[in-house]
Amino acid sequence: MKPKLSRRELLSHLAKLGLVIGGVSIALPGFGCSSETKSTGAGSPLARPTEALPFPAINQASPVSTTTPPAAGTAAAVAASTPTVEAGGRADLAVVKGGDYQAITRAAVGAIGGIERFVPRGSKVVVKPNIGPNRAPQYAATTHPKVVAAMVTLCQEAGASKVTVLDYGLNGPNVGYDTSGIEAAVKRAAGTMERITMMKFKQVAVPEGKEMKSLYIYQDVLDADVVITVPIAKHHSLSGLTLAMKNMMGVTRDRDPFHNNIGQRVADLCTLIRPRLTIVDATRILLRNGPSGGNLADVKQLDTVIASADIVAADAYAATLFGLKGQDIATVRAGQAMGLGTMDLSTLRIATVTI
Amino acid sequence: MDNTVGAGGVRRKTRWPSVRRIGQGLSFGLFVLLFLAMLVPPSFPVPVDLFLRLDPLVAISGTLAGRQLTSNALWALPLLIAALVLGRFFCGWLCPLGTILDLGRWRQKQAFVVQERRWREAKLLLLGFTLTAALQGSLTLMSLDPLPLLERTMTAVLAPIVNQSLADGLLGLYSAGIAPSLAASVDQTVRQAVFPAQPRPVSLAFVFATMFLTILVLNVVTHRFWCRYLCPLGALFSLLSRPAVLRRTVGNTCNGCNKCVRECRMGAIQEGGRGTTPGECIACTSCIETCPQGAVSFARSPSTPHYDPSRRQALAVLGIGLLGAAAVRLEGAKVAEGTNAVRPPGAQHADFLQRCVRCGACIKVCPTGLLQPSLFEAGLDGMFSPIAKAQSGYCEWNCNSCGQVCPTGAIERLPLEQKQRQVIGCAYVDKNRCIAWADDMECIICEEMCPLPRKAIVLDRATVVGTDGQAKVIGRPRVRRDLCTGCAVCEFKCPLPRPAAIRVFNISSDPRLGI
Repeated sequence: MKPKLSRRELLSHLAKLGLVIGGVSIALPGFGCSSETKSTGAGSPLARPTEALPFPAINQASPVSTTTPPAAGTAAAVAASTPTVEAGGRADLAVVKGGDYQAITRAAVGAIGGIERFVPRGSKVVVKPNIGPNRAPQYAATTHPKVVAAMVTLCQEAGASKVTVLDYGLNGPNVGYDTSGIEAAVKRAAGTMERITMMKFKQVAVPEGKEMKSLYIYQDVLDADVVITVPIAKHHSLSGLTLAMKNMMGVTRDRDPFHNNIGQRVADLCTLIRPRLTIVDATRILLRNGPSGGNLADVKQLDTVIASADIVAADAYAATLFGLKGQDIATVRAGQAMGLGTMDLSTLRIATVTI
Repeated sequence: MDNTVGAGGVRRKTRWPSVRRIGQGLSFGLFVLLFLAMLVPPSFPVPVDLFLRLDPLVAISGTLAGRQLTSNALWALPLLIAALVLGRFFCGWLCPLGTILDLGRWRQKQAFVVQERRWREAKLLLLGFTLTAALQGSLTLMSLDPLPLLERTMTAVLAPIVNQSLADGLLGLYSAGIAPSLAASVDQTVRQAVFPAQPRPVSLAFVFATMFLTILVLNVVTHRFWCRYLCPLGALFSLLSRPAVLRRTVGNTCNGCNKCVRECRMGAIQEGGRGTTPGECIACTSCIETCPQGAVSFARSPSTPHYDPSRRQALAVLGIGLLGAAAVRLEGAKVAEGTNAVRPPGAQHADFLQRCVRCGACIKVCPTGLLQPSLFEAGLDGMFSPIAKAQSGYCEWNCNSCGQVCPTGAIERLPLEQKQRQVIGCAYVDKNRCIAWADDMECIICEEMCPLPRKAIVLDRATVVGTDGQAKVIGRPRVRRDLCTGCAVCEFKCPLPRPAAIRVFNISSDPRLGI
């Protein structure tokens, strides 16, 4: 189910938000699936004419008004440096764009309620990036180390007792930890980089699973109070794209069973391990030859991070970056059917921010 | 060395055997350290293949077989020169296999055969065969050189067993709840730093174990049996020691008590204690220590009668060696014709087998376990050489370790980017078994795993009717032969029981494509 907060909780966050994303304006500009081959990365993307989105509803029909007044309009967005307190309506999904990947990650979390909403003081957190292929960051096959590091730091600031980063990727234990730059970034951020040991996979039942009845899950994930999934958005020939839901395969031991009816089986996994927070790294995305990539011509730089408490919504939005809909992605369809969230972006308050 | 050590009747306790033991310990320690260092990525101050580079038999036979002098062969010069001065001191002081055999020393007084000296010539025959075969371009017999032999045994037998027992032991502690966090962190930081994360067996482990155990059992029969009768490297040093400057000499105070004769681990001292069998003394200096009279010393002394093969014997060795090697190569060619030996990247050149000394270093460093020693897959001529077996692993895109550790350059030292383009074979889909082709079900694992920037496996869209009667679109894998490098990750990851539905073949003689 889509996490819902009471009206009172919602209001209590309003005040906070002005601080959390101070210096950041929330707006609904026409940012989305650009048909251009590559973003320049420099200058304000807002200077460009607003492009038509594949799903105009995301922007125009953004129902922020249901609980709070509409966030600052396009005009305010242009004045990007002006703090907009009344823009503080907590969004269901944040899309933040900018060249500083740590800052946009922080802003995205801030826009959906701040890290404290997800990480209680003293909690054990597992941050799950995608470190699957043995590739350097620029190939867009692994989560950007700066996005991972920002999440580690945020959790520490929230008072987490331990922040563990791990992934059991498709090439075996600890492959890519080094090449991806993630191990080094996590260590710099004083997080715990967990080197996978096979002894820690424990068999557990999947009570809500339709096809997956039991799975071997990594012990640290079972022990965690909070799981945060931090995938990179990239192409995958079976699931169409590999995003936040499919990213969770990296906490399991056996990947082969997932390859049949992948959507349902990944959704089954996500009923067992429910990430409380989803951060989709779309700072650069891999358009073709996924999941391993290796060709810079297949990489598109978007300088974007998506955050949501709703894993299905985050994946559905990320799909639009590829010119697809949530409906096109097997994991997203199954995720909605299993009640893990909604792929109907028109029902969401979406904050689009550029910093 | 001081030529007055222990000379005369001075009753002074000599320290030479202790010095030797320290030397043996350091040498053995370095051998083990380099073995372990080879598993960890480079940046080690000493070349990890140091011992194999120093090995003169590797240098000589490699040069003969490869018909060229490589720079690595020059590393063997120090030991060659040292042997001319110090005789077989390598065997007594440095050889790691000799050290292991010394550790398992059993009391024995009698040599096990009559006509013992004739039997000692066996190792010279073995050396003769090895060198004549090398002249013919065959290095299969190099598998009996003690350094490749020990290296291979450690790779195929010892390391996997140690890794498995460590993993099992730590898992036992972890699941029993005895210091679980400690067990897990030892597993992560110690075991995985040295060994593959997932313990895996090496092919032919039982063959290498049998060879090694045989050597150990023979050591019980007669101490240093291997060094006395079989070792081809020992035989080479034995020949070289002919003009050795320093020799065991016995002073006038010798009273013929025969203590040194009983003590000698090589059985090199003749009855009465005065005579030394030429080419058999390994300068271990135990006799200096043992002698109650202090009569033994190592000093400059005139050459003693030495092994001198008759012309007939020499010709026989040469003849048998040439014919034997020719037969092996003939057999090898015949067997290899019908097989599918995919070689490591950088081993595609024609004279690969003429440079591979079967040390197994590449097999050891292969991070996925793709490289395995062959038995007959590459013919008799290729016995124990590395072949790619996708049942056990695949060629990791970001790895070129095998070429980095090859002591003879049999596997080229390819830069990573060049290795990533190196074609070692090509994958073929078995449409009769493939899930997508034979059963109309979705499975794209081979395509997913293909690491090439431009994937060599493409998915052909096909509309099929599923078991529920509904039409659906699936992807069927097809290999782009112009792109595939044969890394075999597709074969390794294919979810079917072996043999996989996509398999990599050597295409060097494939009329459709050549390497």
